[in-house]
Amino acid sequence: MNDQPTESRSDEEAPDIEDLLDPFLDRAYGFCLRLTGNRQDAEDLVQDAALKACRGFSTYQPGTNFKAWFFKIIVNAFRERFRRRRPEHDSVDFGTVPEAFLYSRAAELDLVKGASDPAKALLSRIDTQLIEEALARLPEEFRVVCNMYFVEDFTYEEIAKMLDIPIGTVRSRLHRGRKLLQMHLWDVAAEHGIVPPREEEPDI
Amino acid sequence: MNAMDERDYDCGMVRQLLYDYLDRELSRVELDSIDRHLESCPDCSSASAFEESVLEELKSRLRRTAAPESLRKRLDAVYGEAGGGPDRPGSSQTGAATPPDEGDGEEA
Repeated sequence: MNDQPTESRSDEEAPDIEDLLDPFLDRAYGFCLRLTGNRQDAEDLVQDAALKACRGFSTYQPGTNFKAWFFKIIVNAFRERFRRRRPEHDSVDFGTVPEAFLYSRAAELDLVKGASDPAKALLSRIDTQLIEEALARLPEEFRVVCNMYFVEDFTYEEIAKMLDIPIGTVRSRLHRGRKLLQMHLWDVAAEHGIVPPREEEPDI
Repeated sequence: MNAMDERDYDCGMVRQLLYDYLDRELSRVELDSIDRHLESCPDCSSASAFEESVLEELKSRLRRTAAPESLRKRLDAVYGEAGGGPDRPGSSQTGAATPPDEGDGEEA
């Protein structure tokens, strides 16, 4: 039995950042790709975050959620590096964004009549690349939260901690992000002739 | 949430809480109230099933991205550059599991 106190354990026993990051690398890259919108910037962002993580590895507590720790570094690096490049989005009047847009519109137009899973039937017409494009159209504050929740499976509480915002703000951004995403999904599908364009709604 | 949530929800209330319901981010009482409504309302039940399927489909489709080999090579260089240093996990004086470089704060 090893009676050595924890603080004197050897470096060989400490986790290696490479081993910790490797299982999440595809996800980290995908996350960065959706934040930045292009492959080169996504690679730069992952590399930047990995460098920051290496430099600050002493602040990571072994056994805690490494993915959450690393993704927080990514978000901070993203804001530092890319925020000034993107113009601030115009304010969106969410009163004009309908609830459950896809459901209402698909039902209204009888697009997926008779399908056992109407949502899947509708989305199967839309390429993954177009789904990525719709997500990329979300304003940054919604895009970050939606990606963390939809794709990365972080809980509301984990997202709140990572972004240093109240849980109610996470809930609100996620709710609004979903509403906008449904409209953007419809729009990208309409631009490719998959569904008819929406007409009467304001341009959002 | 509060005592009033034990009442039966109407369609408007259910549609408003649908995303939180699907995310299981409501109290037990609220979840039960919505479950009861969905059992008796075919339209809300269809909307709920549709939204749930949208969420599952998005998750499944968006998780297929793979990191390119060029990135793996770049990271090898990062690890090489950082390797052998004294910076080991959990050795921080503060002991806080806080990432370096907190960046700028965001509005609440």
